[in-house]
Amino acid sequence: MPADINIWVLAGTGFAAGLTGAMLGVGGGIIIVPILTLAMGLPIQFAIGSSLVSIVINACTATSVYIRTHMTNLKLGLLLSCTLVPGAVAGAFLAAGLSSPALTIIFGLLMLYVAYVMIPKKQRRLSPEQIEAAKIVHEKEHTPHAWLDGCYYDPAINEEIGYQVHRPVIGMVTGFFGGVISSLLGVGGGIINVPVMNQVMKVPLKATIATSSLLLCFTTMTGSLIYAYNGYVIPYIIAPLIISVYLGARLGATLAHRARSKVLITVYTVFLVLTSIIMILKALNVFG
Amino acid sequence: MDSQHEKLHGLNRRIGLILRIGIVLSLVLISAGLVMFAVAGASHLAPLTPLSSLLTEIATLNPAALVTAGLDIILLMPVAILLLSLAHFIAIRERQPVITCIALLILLAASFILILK
Repeated sequence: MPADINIWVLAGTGFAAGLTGAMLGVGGGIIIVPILTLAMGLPIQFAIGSSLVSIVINACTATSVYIRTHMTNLKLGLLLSCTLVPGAVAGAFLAAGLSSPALTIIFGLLMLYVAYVMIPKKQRRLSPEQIEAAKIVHEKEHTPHAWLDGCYYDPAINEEIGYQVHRPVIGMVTGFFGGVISSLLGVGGGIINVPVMNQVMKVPLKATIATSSLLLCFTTMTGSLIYAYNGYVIPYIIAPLIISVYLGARLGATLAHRARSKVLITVYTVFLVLTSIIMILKALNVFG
Repeated sequence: MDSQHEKLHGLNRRIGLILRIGIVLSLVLISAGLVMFAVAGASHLAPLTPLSSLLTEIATLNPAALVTAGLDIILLMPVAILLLSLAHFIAIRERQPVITCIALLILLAASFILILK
């Protein structure tokens, strides 16, 4: 553990993580962990513990903003948390036993895949008969979990958006892995939850990001408790991080609320590609 | 807007309010702790304060204890969201969300027990 801890580096890191985290519905840990380990020389367990603790406040701040605009799908968030929480516990216990470079490479590849999934594809044109047939199939598939449906007002297009939630079981299964990754690597788990909710469960991106923030509250709280209980959370390190993450998250949530979905997808995709490349190169020891 | 949505919006507002109160309270304590670190010149590597001695340490303005108290409040926020939601869905007798909230509450409790072991 370094004897001299630079409070301003911590504050700058926290602000950047809070801003991006709230705007993209991810935790911001992807910024905090590398800087704390690479720039400040903290052991990885302390970096992950500090990151998770900071993400809790980031997620709570973003949720407090989103939930008042009714973009958060509370019922869906609570349902998905039922698998995210056990995943977070499993991830924290796994962290002790797995090789770090191997995990980093797998994680980097996974992020590249998620970035590919998030890129908007050209919609295949369907005939009116095909559209009608698809509607009937959707209705049949959908009826048992209609209680998860949501609606919100989107100020960017001045419209009330209603939506149906599809395939919640897939969301719950992948949510477990989101929880594992969150505690294992000190990130929020949004990299799993956001594309699955948006692409597979057909939740609009803004509602996805808002609901993802709620999920992060539960996942990172569980992970934080495990790291704190094991002594990996230091008050002097987390204090400036938490305060600056809060300020960044406030700004990020306000900007995301006003931004259009296409801009958010582009920012998110670029962010995933860049981070995954850096992680893979680091795991292969390219940076020395 | 139907009454179901209005009630859910009411819950959303209550959760938003609780979160804001918790965040402000937590930030005040953490900021005070950070100031006290600078003023008192306490060790930068001091660990979190155990719950058993938290109140007495806060009374002595121990910087680590102030930060620990702020952190505890933040970590309680998701539980507060869950309990508020459970109470709301029980009151409006919506079966599936009630089952979901109870399941999540049990899972959280089981996780805490596992962590402490």
